[in-house]
Amino acid sequence: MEILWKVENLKKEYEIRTEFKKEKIIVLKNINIEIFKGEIFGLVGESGSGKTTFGKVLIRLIEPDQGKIFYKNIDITEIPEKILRKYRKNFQIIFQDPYKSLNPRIRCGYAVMEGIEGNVKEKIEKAIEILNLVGIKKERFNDYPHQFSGGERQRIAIARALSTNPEFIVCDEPTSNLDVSIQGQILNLFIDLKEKFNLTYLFITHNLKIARFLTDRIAVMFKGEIVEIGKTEEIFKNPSHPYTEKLLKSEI
Amino acid sequence: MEEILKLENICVGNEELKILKDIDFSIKRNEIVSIVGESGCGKSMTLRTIIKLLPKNLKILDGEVIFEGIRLKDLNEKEMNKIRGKKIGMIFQEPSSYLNPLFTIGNQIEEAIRENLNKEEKKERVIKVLEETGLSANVYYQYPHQLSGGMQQRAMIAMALINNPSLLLADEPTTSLDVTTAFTIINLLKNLVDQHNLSILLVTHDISLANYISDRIIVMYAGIIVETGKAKEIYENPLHPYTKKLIECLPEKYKKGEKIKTIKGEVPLLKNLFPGCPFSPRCDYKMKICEEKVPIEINFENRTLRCFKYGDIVES
Repeated sequence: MEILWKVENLKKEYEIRTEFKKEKIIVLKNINIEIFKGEIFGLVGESGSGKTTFGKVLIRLIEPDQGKIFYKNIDITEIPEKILRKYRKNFQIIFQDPYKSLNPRIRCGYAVMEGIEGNVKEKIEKAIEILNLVGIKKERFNDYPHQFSGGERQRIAIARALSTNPEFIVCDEPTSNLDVSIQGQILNLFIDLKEKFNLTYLFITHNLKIARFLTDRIAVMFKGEIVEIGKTEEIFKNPSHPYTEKLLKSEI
Repeated sequence: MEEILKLENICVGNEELKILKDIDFSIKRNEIVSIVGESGCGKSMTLRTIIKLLPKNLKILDGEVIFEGIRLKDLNEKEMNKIRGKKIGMIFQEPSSYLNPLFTIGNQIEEAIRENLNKEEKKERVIKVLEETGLSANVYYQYPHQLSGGMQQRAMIAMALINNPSLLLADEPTTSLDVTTAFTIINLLKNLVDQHNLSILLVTHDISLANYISDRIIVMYAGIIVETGKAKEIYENPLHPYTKKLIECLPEKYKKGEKIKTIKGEVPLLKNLFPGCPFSPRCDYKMKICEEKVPIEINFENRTLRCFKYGDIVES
């Protein structure tokens, strides 16, 4: 299988300023991951373990302190921002809260049009096509985000991510703010889109039920470290790290 | 067992629309009851009806809320305030938005004490409750931002328990927490029932969570109760098509690569309701009668059900 992402010794520290001194908190320490093309790679762990930071560092929304990130064997840690932009359209991110990730003053159709190249007519046609794909009807092209329900907004956020024809999408807890019934619809949509566009996902979640259902391989994160990595089935069957065991036990 | 709370045919709404219709259930002492349903089904409104904190444009049109033998309808605002917080505690979905960032946890919990105690006694009592909810005594001096989400929720539970209420209303208490913390909070609630002689009415949209924690489950849809029964029976053998669908769309019921069967459509807006069963547009077993009349409640073996599939008794 082709390796899409290769991460070597990734490190990230945040500086926290208290009254008298500066403290350093290690958010990611020595992370080594390979993500293959066409797989759904799950990242699980409790809140504060550094899952989201990893997702953002991977596509360089946050600069890493140390380590190397290879995208298709190209080292993207050293590339200047200007050239990185060319790659940027290949990887997208979908956030947890669709209420915060859409601009309330931009109509949904225009929000999707932003990432599409071409003249206005082409842009509109393509935006309608993508919205239709995620299940938003043509008639709602001119509606504002507040006119949509939570599930529909997440669909628009997905449409926005798809608008640049990406190869890889970071999904940062995309269903944790949704109802159980809507969650099922969105998960189905993710599976459909993956098959249709041959996508690769990094799926960040704290919901083990979803991780088990959706992902091919899984990495368990604990306090900034990856404690276990492997095929989803095997990890769920016999977890080797005590933290993974604890995590599995807390499933209701 | 003694019934601590009883709702009798509650209807809530205004002249234009009814948002709750014929809500009828009761909670016994030391019992945990869960209300399950999608967003917009009226779950939170049911809780707010019980403590009479409805939005201004809504009122109780019909029915009675009976709490420990008292008809809450007859009480005025002042008498009602003696029940809120003292007899009935409440915890909410997002603890961070209910804690004041400018005061210490100890300060805020002390404020909620209704009895006349001196400073030392108050402090002693707060620390005792904090320890019961699994926090250290040190939290007394800390501010909300110094606590994690799970600890904040524990502090909220401590605040709700400070006056030893007999009923705790919990509105999606674990939705914003991650699995491990949610699990500990749920177990904490379970243990408190015996320790404090408490009953809990929990609102959630996760039916597997409801099955884990509660004795009985109430399934609501578009302002009516569609099914009630023992938690285990409902989870393992759901009868109403809506309950079946709710359980079917849980991802843990599927293997990898399978498609999740979702519920088509959405919860109807209450202003667009038609005379028939509100679930009928999304139902696989729809019959002609479903579009015309709302089914009445059928009672059998500790279970109630509203569906024409199980007998077409029509309300006259």
